[in-house]
Amino acid sequence: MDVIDIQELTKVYQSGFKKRNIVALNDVTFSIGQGEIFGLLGPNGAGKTTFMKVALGIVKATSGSVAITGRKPSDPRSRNSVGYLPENHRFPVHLTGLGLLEFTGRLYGMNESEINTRAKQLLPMVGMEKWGDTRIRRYSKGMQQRIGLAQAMMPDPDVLMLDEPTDGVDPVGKIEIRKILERVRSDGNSIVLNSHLLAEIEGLVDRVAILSRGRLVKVGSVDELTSRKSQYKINADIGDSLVEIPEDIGKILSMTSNELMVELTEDETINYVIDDLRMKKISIKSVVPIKITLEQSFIEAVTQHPDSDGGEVSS
Amino acid sequence: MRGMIHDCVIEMINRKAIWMFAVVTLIAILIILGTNSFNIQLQVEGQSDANPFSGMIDKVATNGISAQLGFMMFLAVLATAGLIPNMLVRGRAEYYLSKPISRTGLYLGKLISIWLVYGATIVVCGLITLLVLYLVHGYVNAGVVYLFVQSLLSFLIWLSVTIFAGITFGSTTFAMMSAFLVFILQMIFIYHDVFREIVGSGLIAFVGDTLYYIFPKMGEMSDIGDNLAMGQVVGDWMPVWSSVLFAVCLIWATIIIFNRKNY
Repeated sequence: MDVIDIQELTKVYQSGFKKRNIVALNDVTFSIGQGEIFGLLGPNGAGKTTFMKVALGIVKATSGSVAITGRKPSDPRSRNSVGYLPENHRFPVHLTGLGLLEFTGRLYGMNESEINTRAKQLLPMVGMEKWGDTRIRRYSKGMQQRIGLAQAMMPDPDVLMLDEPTDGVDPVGKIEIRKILERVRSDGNSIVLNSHLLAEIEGLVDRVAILSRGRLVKVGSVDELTSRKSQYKINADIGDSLVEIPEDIGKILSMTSNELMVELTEDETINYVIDDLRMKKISIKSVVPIKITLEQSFIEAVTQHPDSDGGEVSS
Repeated sequence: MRGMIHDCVIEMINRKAIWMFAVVTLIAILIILGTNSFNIQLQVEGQSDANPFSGMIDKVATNGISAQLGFMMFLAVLATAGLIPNMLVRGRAEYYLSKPISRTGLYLGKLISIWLVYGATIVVCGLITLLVLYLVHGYVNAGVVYLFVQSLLSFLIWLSVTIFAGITFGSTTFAMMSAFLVFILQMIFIYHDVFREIVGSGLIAFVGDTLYYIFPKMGEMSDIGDNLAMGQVVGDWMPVWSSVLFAVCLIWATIIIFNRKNY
């Protein structure tokens, strides 16, 4: 079941006296399933934050539709079970950390007993139990991120939307946040994660969408996005054997005495290459698809996209 | 709603706004205590029973309470003008708007909680002053209830103006300036009859009259409150209902604008 469904979503801002059109999201369609950690990637101004804001009703869509658990953003009930950590947030600084959680709980309509129980769970979970009675204005950036994550988790949300959640958090804190997110997923809840830190996303998310200049460039699992189509690395005892591949099947990318890298016209033709090697009495140790990092995939997607150096956009 | 009221109280204490009201009340109490010697002198001279000044004291006390409530209302308008723009700054607006509350609910919740919290503070400060007046001068006048009602109503009308400007322009400065602008304009429009006689143009006279009826009439509302407190009859309630109508229209317009804005 999809918890978030986006269909042909477009958001155009108008800027300045001349009402110049700035396309923040352009005909974006994808969906996010229950229990999924979904990563949104894109350079600055790609439309990642705008997407989150449109989904939460903070920004109105120009056209297209968004539904969270089947409800439109204009319906406040769509946010009943959605927690949100905004980017560059500025929580009410007159509140303490605990006060923020209590206030958030009240905004979600939780009763006092639920609020107390939940706040007592969350403060230790984000490593803030000693700082609950300190005013937010005295918090460091990392502490603000932690308490921000706690307030987003206050209603025990089905969908957690996090915009740059590890921004300003130290490496140990990042690992802790990662563990928290894994725990949220294990409870069957969905997470939408905006981040510039690709390495951080790569090991955590189930699927990724890459946005560039408001357009959805790629969407798929990390495996799908990082696999080179029809490129394989074959570890084998090649020695000085002569290995050749007909042009209609593919080509050799590189070859050493124990490694052969090939690019094939079709995935299925890998069997021909294996048969050929075996016929030459070459011992094969492994055949693995060549993978690139998510960062490489991201850069390829963003730079090769026809709109990559197009008109002005803003997130 | 309970969350917003609670938050408003914490915010008021944290912004030290409550001290302004405490200081004004303290000054009022010191003035009352200072006039105690005048009262004692009258009693020593054996004039207190048929005191020709007792009526004057009542009038001065009522006007004093009216002035104190009016000044505290002015302070409350200034103190609260920045609350909405402050709530809707980038990074904080997202926090509020991502919660399962409609924008209309958020606006009305904030408006009502500010009105209740600051209004209650004004009432409490006024009651403390009244208590001291009673203890020192034996001043009792049930009519002052009208002053409290008038102050709270005026505060609500001013809030509708500052919040309208706060949401429309997202600026504390604009919110404060709008209150001053409306204050000055309504002072000018009181003299719409005089304009009509001075300016020959029928169109200008019509515009002046129309704006007079549209804009709130805070000065006249204050006069009505004073008259009621003194036990006098009010002949024309138009300044009250037209001012309330102005606030209702402004609240309605604010809701429409707030619901259309992107943050």
